[in-house]
Amino acid sequence: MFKSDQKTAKLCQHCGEPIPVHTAGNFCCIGCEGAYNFIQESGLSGYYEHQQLSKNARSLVPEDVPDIHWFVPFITQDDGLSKIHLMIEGIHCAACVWLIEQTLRRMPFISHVRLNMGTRRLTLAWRGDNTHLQPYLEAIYKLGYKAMPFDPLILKSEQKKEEKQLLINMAVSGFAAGNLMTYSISLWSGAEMSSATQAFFTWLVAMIALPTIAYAGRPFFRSAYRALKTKRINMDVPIALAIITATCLSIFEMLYGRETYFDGCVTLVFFLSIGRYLDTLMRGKSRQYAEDLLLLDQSMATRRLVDGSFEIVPIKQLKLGDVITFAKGEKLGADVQVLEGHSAVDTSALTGESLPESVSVGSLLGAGYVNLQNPLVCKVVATGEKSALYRLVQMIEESEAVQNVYTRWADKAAQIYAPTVHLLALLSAIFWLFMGQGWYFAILTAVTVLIVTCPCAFALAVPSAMAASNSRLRQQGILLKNGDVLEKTPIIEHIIFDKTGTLTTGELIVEKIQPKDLAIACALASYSSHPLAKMLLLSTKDISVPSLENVQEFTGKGVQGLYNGQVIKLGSSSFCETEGTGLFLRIGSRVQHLNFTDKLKGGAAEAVARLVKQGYTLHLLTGDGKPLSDEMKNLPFHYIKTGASPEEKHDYIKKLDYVMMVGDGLNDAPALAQSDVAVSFGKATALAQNSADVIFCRDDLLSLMDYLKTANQTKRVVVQNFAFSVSYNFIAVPMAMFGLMTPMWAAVFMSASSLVVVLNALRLKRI
Amino acid sequence: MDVILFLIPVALTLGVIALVAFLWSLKSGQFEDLEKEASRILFEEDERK
Repeated sequence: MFKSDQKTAKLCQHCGEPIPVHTAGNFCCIGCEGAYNFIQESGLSGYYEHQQLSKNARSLVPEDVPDIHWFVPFITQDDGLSKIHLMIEGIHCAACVWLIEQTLRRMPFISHVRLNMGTRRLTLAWRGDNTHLQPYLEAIYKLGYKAMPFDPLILKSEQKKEEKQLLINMAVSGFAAGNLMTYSISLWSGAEMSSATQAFFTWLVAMIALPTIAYAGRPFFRSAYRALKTKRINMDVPIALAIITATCLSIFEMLYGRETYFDGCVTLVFFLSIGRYLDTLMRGKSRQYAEDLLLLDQSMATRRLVDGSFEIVPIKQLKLGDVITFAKGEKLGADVQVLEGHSAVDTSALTGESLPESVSVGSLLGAGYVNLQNPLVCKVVATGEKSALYRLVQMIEESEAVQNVYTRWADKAAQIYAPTVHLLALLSAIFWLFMGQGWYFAILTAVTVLIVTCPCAFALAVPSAMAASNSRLRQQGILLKNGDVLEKTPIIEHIIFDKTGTLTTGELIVEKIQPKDLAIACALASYSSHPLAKMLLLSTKDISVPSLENVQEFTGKGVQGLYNGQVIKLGSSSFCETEGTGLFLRIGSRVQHLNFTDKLKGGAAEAVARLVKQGYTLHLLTGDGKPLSDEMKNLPFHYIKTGASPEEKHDYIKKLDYVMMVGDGLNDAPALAQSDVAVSFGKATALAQNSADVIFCRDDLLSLMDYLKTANQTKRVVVQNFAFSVSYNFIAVPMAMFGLMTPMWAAVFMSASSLVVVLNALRLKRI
Repeated sequence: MDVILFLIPVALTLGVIALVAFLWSLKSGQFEDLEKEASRILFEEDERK
């Protein structure tokens, strides 16, 4: 479908702009010719067929690639691949996305290309180093698009502009609707008036209505036009058709001095604008969260130099190993580990947890944390793209981009819906004509049918619910890596738990021991390099250790010393002259067994108990061959298997249906991949996180309860919304077809139905 | 009843003034951050300096 029009001025075959008079050939400039040839050579001429260029689109005239040095700081290394995020300018339809993705995918060394149409963000990954970026950028520019390293500030303004415009539309149409209502009362009240007065009011109403409809109706007309250009019908087509038909009908009637429906048209546009505004607002809220997190990059941090002096640098320039100060009230821009000091931090940006967490030397803090108390000195362990926060944002984006099963149903339904609607409208018109009611009534009925059958309710049913539950999950510190998982969760029957790190904290601590004895044990342990001694020290922090004399280590057996004149020993049972296995402490004549246990995580016992009550079958699958602790044995699992290898875990799950696996370690990854729903923790290994569908940022098993509850409620709301939209249509459409409704009521019902669906979805945010 | 020929334009003008005022407030960014505006009242007096 080339835009060349032989009758008038010749148009460029690439960008559609008129060719300057003295230029020969089919293109307006070398750039367009180049782009056209490039596209043809790459075999991507399908681009022109799929285009939805409207007359106002910017022409895709290629420009020069800016200096590569701008981009280099934004390139990150990930798993052996180089990666960059770019903002693409010039995209106005799906064809553009397709073109860019296809072109880049065919280039050498490319590993991964994804262009998100909504945010216009391009994620590019390739094998190799920074030099490979140049040809990729050139390709993008050659096609006529522009690329910039991702700057979240630009994104915010696009979203804001759209919202603003919709708000203006609402204001204008609301103003007009209100005033028109007042004037229309005189026309509708049935009062006796001369034809001159009637004409006056009618023209007055028309004068207000027509500009309003032309202005506030633009989003709908534009969208419908764009769809029709590609010979498709989207949900705005019936709406646009209805508005235009009703308006034209009213103009026609006005010229003949009869009843007009301008007030109905304007009110229709008003209600539609409200619906659209709320829809955009809701999408904006979730995106806003992601952007707010990213804005961290733009602020500054205080770095301590080798000589002890301080310098203030942009967070973007922080490197691994840098030492920074973290002052009270400051927000971290990178992942760090505390070197000096102790304080309390607000972790809500990452975990949604509003209770402050106390941290001290050795604690790991994530980007986004706010220091609430004392200044800390920290070492940078992950920056920018590597930080947990950034990964979180990326996961949010990915989960939003993926369509889930629910949305796919809705889309398919919308495809048949629009043509059906037009058919029904036509049928009603014909029917009433047949019944001898005249043109006027026939067309009016058709218009009413078109208006009332807005599939907005149907189309909003799922997205509104997903957006609301996504937002709530994020507040609860739960991340969805793909959209499918929320739909799969309600059918889960089996839940499988890993032990170490999932149910337990993964840190071994010593139980049932006197603090004084523990202190002595630690004192001895500090002289040993034995793994058990190290473990003992790790599990006891901030303990004041008494000084000992005559300390001697007997490799492989234990450590011996003197304390207050008494002989003390720490070591194996034979070393301490006693019996049993494990680590023993002998103080004089007293022997103490040091019992290491893996403590259960907070909420683990409660979560397990509640899950059993809810009817799930619980399994404990652990790679740890040791016997279970007493705490563990008390948990009401239905099936327990210890000492399972990763393959055994994987096979175990394979035999079951409707399985959810909760795990965190390296050995859980195959099992996680095999299960229907895979859950992991924010503190888990990267591999486990990659295989997981859901990630709990809070290290608390009760998050599982929150998640299950949300998933079940989401399903319920989606079903409710679908049921409502369907029954609404089954009631409203016949009413409209049988002439029992005026267009104005149709507008009210239609918008009300959308509002009901959205409000129902918003309930998910609170519960 | 002829007075209505005068009253209607007046009413419309007042309405348009209100609309313009709203559009102005919108353009000057007063609707940007709805949450912040709500809590603005709680900020300390010094902030306004």
